[in-house]
Amino acid sequence: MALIVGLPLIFTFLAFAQLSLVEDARLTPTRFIAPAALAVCMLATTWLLQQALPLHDQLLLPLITLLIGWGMAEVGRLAPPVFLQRQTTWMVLGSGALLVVALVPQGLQWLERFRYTWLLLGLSLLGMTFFLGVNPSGTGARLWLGVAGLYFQPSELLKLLMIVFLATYLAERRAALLEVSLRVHRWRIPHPAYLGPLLLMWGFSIILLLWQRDLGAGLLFFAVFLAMFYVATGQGRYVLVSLVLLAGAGAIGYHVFDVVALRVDAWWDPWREASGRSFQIVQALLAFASGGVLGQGLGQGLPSAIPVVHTDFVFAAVGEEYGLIGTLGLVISFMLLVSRAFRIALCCERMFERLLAAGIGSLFGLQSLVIMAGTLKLIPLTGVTLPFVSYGGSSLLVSMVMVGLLVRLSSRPTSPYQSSPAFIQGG
Amino acid sequence: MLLGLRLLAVVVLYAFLLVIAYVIWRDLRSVARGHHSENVAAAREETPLAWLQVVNDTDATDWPKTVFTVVPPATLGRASDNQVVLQDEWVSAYHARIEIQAGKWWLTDLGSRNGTRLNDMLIVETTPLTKGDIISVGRLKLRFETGDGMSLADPNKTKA
Repeated sequence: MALIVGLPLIFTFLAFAQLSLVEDARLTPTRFIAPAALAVCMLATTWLLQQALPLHDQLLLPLITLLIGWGMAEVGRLAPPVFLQRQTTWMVLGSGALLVVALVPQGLQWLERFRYTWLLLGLSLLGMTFFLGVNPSGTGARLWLGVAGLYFQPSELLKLLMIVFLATYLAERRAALLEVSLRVHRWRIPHPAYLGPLLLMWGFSIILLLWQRDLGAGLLFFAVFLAMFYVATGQGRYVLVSLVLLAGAGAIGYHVFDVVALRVDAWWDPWREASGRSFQIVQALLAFASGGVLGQGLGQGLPSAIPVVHTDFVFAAVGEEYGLIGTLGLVISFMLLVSRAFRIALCCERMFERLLAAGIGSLFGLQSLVIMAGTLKLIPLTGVTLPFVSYGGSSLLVSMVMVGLLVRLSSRPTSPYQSSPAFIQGG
Repeated sequence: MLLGLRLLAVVVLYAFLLVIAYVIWRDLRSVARGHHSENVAAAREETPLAWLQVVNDTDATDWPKTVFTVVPPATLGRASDNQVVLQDEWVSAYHARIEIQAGKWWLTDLGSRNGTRLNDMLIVETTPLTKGDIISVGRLKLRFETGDGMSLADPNKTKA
C-alpha cells in the first residue's frame, strides 16, 4: 500500500527536478523543500490512518497526493516563490485538518447535531466579506478575509457547510418530499411546502452570484444542491424544473449584468476580441494547442502568458507543458476520486452519511468539470479552482477536510452488537 | 536528460493510474464474489417483510446503527426469547408486539413499565404502523421499515 502513495510522490519529485534543471541549470536542494514536506505529510497521514482506521478507503490519499503534488509543482513553476511557500503551509495545515476530521471519535454526529450552527457560521463568514472583504491581488471581487498575512475565502468553507446542512436536511425530510404531493387537475405536483427549500436555495445562489460577482460559486452551490436532491429523492422532475430555473436566471443575468454577458460573449466568439476581453481564454486555447500530445515539458513552455494561470487556468498550464497525455491523466485522476466518493456513498447505511459522501463527490466532480471545461471553452468560463491543483489555500484546506470526511465515512468499525443482516449491507 | 525526466514522469503517472485501476478491479471482483456466494443468495431466499433500524441520534446510548429483522408476529423486549432482543435497562422484558392483522401492520404495547411511543405519541391500544414510523422503547428509537417501496433492501433492487 505504501507503494501506491509512493508513485505520486516520485512524480512530484520528478517535476521539481525538471523545474530545477530548467531554471537553475542544476539540481538545487532548496527546490526540494516543498515536495519533501508533501512526502512527510502524506506518508505520516497514510501511516496514522492505517493505524487508527485499518478499513478505510486506501485510494483516496494516493489520488489527492498526486493532485496536490502536481499542483505544487505548477505553483512553483508559474508563481513567485512566496506562493509555493504559502501553498506548502496550507498543505501542512490541510493534512492536520484531514487527520482531525477522520479521527475524531463519536462518528460524525457532531456535524449532524449542530447543523444550523454550521450553516450560520458559514453564512456569517460570507456576510463579513461584504464589509471586511479584501482581494489579495488588489483589485477584483473582494471575497477574502485576511488574518495575519493568510487570506481565507469563506465561500470555500461555505461549500462544505452547505453540503453538511443539506445532507442532514434532506435525510430528515426525504420521506415527506417523496410522499406528500398536491393534485392539480390531472398532474401530481410536489407540495409547495417542500419545494420551498429548493426555491430558497435557488434564490440564495442567485444572490451570491450577483452581489459578489462570484459566478462560479453560485453555479456550483446550485449544481451540488441539485445533485444531492436527486440522490435523496431519486426524482428527475425536480432536476428538470431546476434546470429550467437556472437557464432562466442565466438569460436574465446575460441581459442585466456585464460580468455574465462578458463571459458568455467570450465563450461564444473569443476571436473577435482576442487581445481584449477574451485575451485569457484565447491564450489558454493557444497553450493547449502548443502543448500537443506530449507537451513542451515542464518549465519549457510559455503558460505565464495567460493571466492568473496559477489559479483558475492551471489546467491550461498542464495542457501546455504536459500535453494531452498529462491532461488526460489529470482527468482520469479526478474521475477515480469522484467514483471512490460515490462508492463510499453506496456503502453507507445511513441516509445522512450517504448524502454527505455523494455531496462531496458531486462537488469535486462538478467543480473540476466546470473549470476544466471552461478553460477548454466548452462552456462559458466561471472562476472556480481546480480542486487540490490550483493555487489557493482555502480551497486546498477545505478540499482536504472533505477527503478527511470521506476517509471517515469509508471506514466502518465492526459492530459489537448483532451484525446487520447481509441484505442491508449489499447494494 | 530533460527528455528522460519527462518520459519518466509520464511513465510514473500512468503506472500510478494503472495500480489504482488494478486495486479497484480487485476490489470490485471481491465484492462481486462475496455477493454471489452469500449476500445476494441469502437476500433472495429470505428477504424479510420488515425490519427495525436503530436511529438514535443523541449520545444517550452507545447503540450502533443496528438493524433487526422482523418476522410477524414479533415481540420486542429485553428477555432473550423475544424476536427482537433490546439490551437496554429501560426496556421491559416483553415490551411490545408487531404483527400483521387484516393486511396491515399493528403495534401493541405489552404493558411495559416505561411505555411505547409511536412517533413520540404514547400508545395505549393497538395502533396501525406504517413504513418509516419511529417506535420509541426505553432509550431506543427504532425506525420501522417494510420491504416494499423505495429502499436499499428492496428485493428487486438487490437482485439487480
